[in-house]
Amino acid sequence: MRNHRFSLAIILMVTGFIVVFSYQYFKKAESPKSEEANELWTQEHQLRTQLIKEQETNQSLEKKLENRREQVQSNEQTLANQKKEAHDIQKSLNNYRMLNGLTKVHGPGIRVSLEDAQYVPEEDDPNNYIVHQQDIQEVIYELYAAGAEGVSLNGQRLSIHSYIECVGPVVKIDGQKHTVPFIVEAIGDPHLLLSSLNMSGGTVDLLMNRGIKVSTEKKSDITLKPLI
Amino acid sequence: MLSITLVTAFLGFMVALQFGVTKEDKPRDTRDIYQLQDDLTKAEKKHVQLNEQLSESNRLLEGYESDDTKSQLQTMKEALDKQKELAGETVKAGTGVLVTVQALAQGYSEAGEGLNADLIRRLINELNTLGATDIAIADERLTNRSPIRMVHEIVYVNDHPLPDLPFPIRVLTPHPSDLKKRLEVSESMEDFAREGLTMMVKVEDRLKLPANGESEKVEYMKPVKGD
Repeated sequence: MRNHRFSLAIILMVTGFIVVFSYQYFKKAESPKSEEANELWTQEHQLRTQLIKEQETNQSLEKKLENRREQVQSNEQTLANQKKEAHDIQKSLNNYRMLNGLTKVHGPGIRVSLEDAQYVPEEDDPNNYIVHQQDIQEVIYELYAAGAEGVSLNGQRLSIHSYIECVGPVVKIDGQKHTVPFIVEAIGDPHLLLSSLNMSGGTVDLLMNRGIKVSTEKKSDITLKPLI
Repeated sequence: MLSITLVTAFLGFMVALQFGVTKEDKPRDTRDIYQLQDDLTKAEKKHVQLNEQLSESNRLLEGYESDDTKSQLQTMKEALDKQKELAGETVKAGTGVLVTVQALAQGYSEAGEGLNADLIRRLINELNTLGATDIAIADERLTNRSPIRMVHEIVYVNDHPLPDLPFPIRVLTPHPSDLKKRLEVSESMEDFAREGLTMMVKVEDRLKLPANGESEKVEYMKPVKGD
């Protein structure tokens, strides 16, 4: 019986300890934390609402801009039909707009797809087997050298100000995130673009040597979205 | 016996509770908020760009509404000049930084053998993230489709070989001192040093960039209409 009492005493002591500890823990953890969590939640909610509103505004502005640009072009067309001088200016104006990425364009070209290597030898650094910013740039610059008139990466038109950042397996183009496969599409002479990439010792060979899966394909019609 | 049963049951309950409390206390996930803030900043930037483009279009429309053909033609010419400027086909001046590429020290890569296309491409990439608006490498003004590549161990920009060291890279930006500070601690600076090269960066109040002589010839692209 004495033994029994002793163990009961110990159990009660432990219980008391846990009760107090729990109480303190709850008191400490719950009250300020829930307030903080609440605050975070409100902040997140506000941000989300703001973002949605901003995106909606942008969408309607995009529509409006498209509309205005059509009006501008139809005005220019009318003028070009009236005057020879205007005709020449219009032609070069529209060419520049296409080159500068201000109009949606289409035309023949090629499509290049870059993927990470599937087989990575165990002892090697997997970093050596994923597509990096340099690999993408290698393709893009080779295409420019072969006379590409417009280039997009994963559907995003590239411009003079474009920047590509490599964050692990994610590649950011002008701040927008993309993952493998990376699809480069270019408008230009399909034959010339393709043969300059596939030249022996050229870009495709170089990338394949780095273990990247490259596939190229001629396309009769490629569409590039405008920058804005 | 009953009291012991009760006490142990209570004990078990408390332990379970304790476990629950402890488990809940994992680090808070604030990633969502950063992500949202990031997206919002991007959307706001786009908003500004859209507004700029809209007011540009409106300005043109106003010009075209005039009854005088001559002033309509003038508006069109101005629009063309603006596009040429955007394409890098006009001489452009403004605030910026003058970057001089040279050997790190005597005896290092003096002939510029460390220079390669990748180094230049990465530098341009980095300059763009730092807010460069226009760039000329040596005398080659960059455009939307400027090739930069190696031909027989020499870097070619716009199909012209780069000159011997030292050569200048002129960069226009509205915030030259920011760009200078950030370029001096950039990854490119380290990459250059690894090749025995360095960049001297100088803020300039007025920097003049040459025009790109490329023609605006377009053979394969056509505008997508009515969509």
